[in-house]
Amino acid sequence: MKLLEVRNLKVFFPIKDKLFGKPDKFVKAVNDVSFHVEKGEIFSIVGESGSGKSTIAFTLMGIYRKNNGDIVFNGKKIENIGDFDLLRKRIQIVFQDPDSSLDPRKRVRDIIGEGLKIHKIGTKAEINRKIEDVVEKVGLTQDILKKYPHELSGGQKQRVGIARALILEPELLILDEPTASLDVSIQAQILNLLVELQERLGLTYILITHDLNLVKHISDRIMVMYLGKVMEIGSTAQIMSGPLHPYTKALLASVPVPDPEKRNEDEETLTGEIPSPLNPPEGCPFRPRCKYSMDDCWNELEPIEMKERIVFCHLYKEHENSGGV
Amino acid sequence: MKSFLRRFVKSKSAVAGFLIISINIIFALFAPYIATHQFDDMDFMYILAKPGEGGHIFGTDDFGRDIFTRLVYGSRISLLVGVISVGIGAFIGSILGIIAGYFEGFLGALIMRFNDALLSFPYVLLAIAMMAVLGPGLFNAMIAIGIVMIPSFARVIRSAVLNIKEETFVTAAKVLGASNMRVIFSHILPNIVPSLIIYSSLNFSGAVISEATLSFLGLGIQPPTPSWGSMLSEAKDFLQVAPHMAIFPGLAILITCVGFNLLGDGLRDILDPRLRK
Ligand SMILES: Nc1ncnc2c1ncn2[C@@H]1O[C@H](COP(=O)(O)OP(=O)(O)OP(=O)(O)O)[C@@H](O)[C@H]1O
Ligand SMILES: [Mg+2]
Repeated sequence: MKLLEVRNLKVFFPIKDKLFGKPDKFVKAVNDVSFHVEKGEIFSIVGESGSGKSTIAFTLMGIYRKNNGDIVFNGKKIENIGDFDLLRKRIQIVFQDPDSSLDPRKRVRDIIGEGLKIHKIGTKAEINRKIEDVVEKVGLTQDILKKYPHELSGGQKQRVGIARALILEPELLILDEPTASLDVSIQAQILNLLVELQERLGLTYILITHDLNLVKHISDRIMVMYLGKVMEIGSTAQIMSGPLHPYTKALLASVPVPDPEKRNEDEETLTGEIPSPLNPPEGCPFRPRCKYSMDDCWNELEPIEMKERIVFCHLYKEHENSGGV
Repeated sequence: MKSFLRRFVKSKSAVAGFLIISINIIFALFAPYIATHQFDDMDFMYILAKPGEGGHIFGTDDFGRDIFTRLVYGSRISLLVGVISVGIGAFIGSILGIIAGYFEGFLGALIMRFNDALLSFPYVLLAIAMMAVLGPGLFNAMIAIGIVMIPSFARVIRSAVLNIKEETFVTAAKVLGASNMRVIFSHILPNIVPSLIIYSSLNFSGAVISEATLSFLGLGIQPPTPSWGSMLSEAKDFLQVAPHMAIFPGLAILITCVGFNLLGDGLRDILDPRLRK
């Protein structure tokens, strides 16, 4: 069952003219992105910095306004701010930077309980019980409640961020690089916690990351993005063992392989710079860095669907609708 | 509350500032009991007397009035002017600064344009213009000084708000469903209080000096009622012969400003959970 469906989403940011304050250019942060998320799955969005991952998350939370496209949650179209407000309890987000995501002047108890207070859920005693409950769920001890954010470690902060999101009992949790700013040893702990919570509470995740390594063991499906565009969507197995898009291949090759013997000989690597999002290449955004680029790549991409996967690459045109690779 | 007191007592600068301000307040409240003379008594035997002469511990001014007495009475005016004008400036300036910073957009731009226009006038000129509208008198002087302070408060608060607004915890509150009012009062305001306290304590001296200028021009306090500012401006014709006429009110202003700054510094630290042990 589709919990969330995003169709042709476009989110553009105007770049203001310094002198007259008129927008004269746009950053096409998310440019015609479509995907869906199944209920109960972990759907990962992977891409380099600036590919538009956070923008998608913030648009789904109603913080950024979409320029175009549809967002459908549980079969219902989400259009205006009012619709987003109704979804506050059903979609929540854990932010990338736990340092700035907790108000330095609030105690952990108030930070975690804020959602309940805003939505006026329960009496004081019930609120306290729920807070203590969720603190335990995220693997913290009760004495954390009277502390301030600066007294916590990075991992503890991120657990508090997770608790704050979970206390509203959402169905969909968006995790925007939940471990990116943590020590490697803590990253695994937080990831394990997230997986455990997902199973225990029957949650659906959108897991945003730039690190394919991180998600390959836990996600069900992966969407690869580049410069605001989708490159490829498929199951984790498909993406990891049979990437189609040259960008996905390059991304996988740049993931360090522990065993050098296993390294591919004609390994593709990412060369060149990411083009400026203000001035993206015509046609396929990966064209200037792609070693398979051809004339066709100057044209707009159409999604090519193959079995359960979708790839945006002219190389696979002949496979269209043939159902195989 | 209890822990606030405990932290207050532990903060050296807060205690020092509090003491200085308290002495000031006691002087202001009990002026008739503390003063050694009448503030408008002229001792013709001792005109421009040096400190200590003729029972005048801080000396006398050009009319033979006791400077200590006038300082004690002057603390009433100066404290009042400082507190009320800074209060007006801080309160209205914060409201405008928060609106301009938080909502940006058309309203914010309008406020800031108006602000910049006001800031381009010299401070005192603006206060004099305000007085021309309001009419002379101490009360109007306090209002005029307060109003003149609004633009600079608005600017400082706006930039503080712009910084805080970008923090993820503000986004986090919005995502939880917090209304703008809740975001402002629960997250923005507590985080700009430090800037507000420090800026207010810095502006105290400006208010006292502005009152002096207005009084000097006959727009503020009417003679012979003393204020530190008016005492200072009266002293400037006698700097050569009677420097003590300027030194004592100058010191009074200085010490009080230091007191407010210490108190402000201490309060900022006390209110910051990151500095708690
Ligand atoms: N509020 C904004 N105003 C203007 N431009 C923005 C804004 N937010 C994002 N952008 C731009 O949109 C593009 C996509 O940014 P986004 O933050 O979504 O990328 P990301 O994939 O999350 O990257 P990262 O891995 O660095 O978090 C970037 O070029 C960025 O500069
Ligand atoms: Mg991001």
